[in-house]
Amino acid sequence: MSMGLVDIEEILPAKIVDNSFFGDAFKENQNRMFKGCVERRHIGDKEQSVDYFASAAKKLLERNGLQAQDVDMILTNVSVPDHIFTGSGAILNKKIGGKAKWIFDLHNTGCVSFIYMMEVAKSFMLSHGVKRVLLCSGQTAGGRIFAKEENKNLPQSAIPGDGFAVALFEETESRKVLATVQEVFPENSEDMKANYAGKDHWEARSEVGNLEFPEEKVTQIIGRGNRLVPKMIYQALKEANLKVTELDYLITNQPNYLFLRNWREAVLLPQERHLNTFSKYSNLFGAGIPITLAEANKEGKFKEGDLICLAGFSHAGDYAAATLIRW
Amino acid sequence: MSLDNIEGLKRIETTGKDEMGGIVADLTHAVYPHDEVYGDYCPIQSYIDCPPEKVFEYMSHPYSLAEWTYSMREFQKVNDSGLYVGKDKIGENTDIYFKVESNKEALLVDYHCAWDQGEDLWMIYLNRIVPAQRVLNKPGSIVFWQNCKHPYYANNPYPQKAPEGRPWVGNFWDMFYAGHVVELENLKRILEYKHANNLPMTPSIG
Repeated sequence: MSMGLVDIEEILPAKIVDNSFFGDAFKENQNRMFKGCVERRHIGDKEQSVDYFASAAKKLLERNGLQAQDVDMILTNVSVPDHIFTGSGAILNKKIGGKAKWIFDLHNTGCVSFIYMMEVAKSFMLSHGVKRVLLCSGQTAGGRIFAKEENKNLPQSAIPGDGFAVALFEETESRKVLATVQEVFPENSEDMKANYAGKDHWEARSEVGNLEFPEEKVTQIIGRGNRLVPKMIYQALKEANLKVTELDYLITNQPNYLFLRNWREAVLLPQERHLNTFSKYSNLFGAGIPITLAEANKEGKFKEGDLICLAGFSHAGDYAAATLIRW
Repeated sequence: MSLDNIEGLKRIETTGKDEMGGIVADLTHAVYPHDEVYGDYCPIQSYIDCPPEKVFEYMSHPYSLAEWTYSMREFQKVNDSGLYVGKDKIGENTDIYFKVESNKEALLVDYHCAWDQGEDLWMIYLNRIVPAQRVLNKPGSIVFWQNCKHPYYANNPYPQKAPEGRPWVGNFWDMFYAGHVVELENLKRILEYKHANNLPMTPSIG
């Protein structure tokens, strides 16, 4: 059984936000973790991820001559969820008029959630005869957290950008997934946290939340990223019995230009082969990999037979993964 | 003298922590090109489970080189100055001259060598033995082994003494890292075996 990528569609919020929105703290900051982006998109306060997903999913199905009923599984990951109690997947199913039987709203694996969702999809194809899966990646922290008045003047607030992508995978030999590797590092699971001024997110409060990396761990987190992503890429290549020199394109999550530089160097690729959308969309977290993939596909970058690697690590290094697709 | 006259110093008085943080982040890569690390100098090191004084005793004995090196063999004393000559089997019919310069107090063992002639020992292998207890909080030793790319590696200064058609030692500089790692592993295995089995540290070849 092999799983392949049928098609993928990205959709970005209309609101373009440039660096001036974030005040001088961002301009003057020297921390390389928070540098290098030019623009990003922000989701509006009244907007919902599911509407973006629905619009992308409809395009995707129509373009591939499929009905919503042809989809039997929906997987979603939305960084700051629309619906903390019920999840987005079922509502998406309703909005597209689908009948998908299997729906999971993942709330973990952040920047590598797209790769994790691919693995979940594949395992259900194997175990439950699932044929077609919609993978929905949504990043909403830009508008929902970092655009808020209390946060926008922190240097790190300029880094997150919002965006959405929906991918359609099915059981097929074309554009097939050759190998996927993933690893969990529980020891890093508490090094990035949402902080609501010391309260829990369900408690009444007047402050908005924020995401924090402990200052004293930043250097270690850079080290983890430098180590983990190349490690995953090389592991995936080994599993697929391929050499690093056979890679045509790399797409990773895009936390900052330093990681992009280091990962590209680690797999010996020139800049134009490591695709990213960092300068215009900034850090898209889990939506980064699929959005970059979707845009490159639309631009006609990939030719048949190209070997494409998707890879990354999440949060402060709690998950890392890589996957290889033969276009 | 004022340090202010010196361009480009990065000191906390003039380079703030944020700026410094940025500089070090830019300098930190996930991988480094081989040539950047091993182009002009070839530093390697290894932990060895054997006490420093025993490591010193073994390494400072000239005949140990015939055991742990890949290709130095058939040693003979040249004179009483500590100069020896042997065959470097990596080269066709190649004589290698060498002297051991060591300092027991400092735990330094340097090998001064040259191919083909013994008057100018320009190929120098620097070794420092460090007690692991001090730096790793465990018994044993660390051996730091360094080579520097002397200009003679690029051009044989005594071509008239070289056997006809034999490749020059400098042609192998790019392999020094790998070759030395293998030899250091040999050294480690021999020392750990001798120490674990309580054998004399004197080389058995001689």
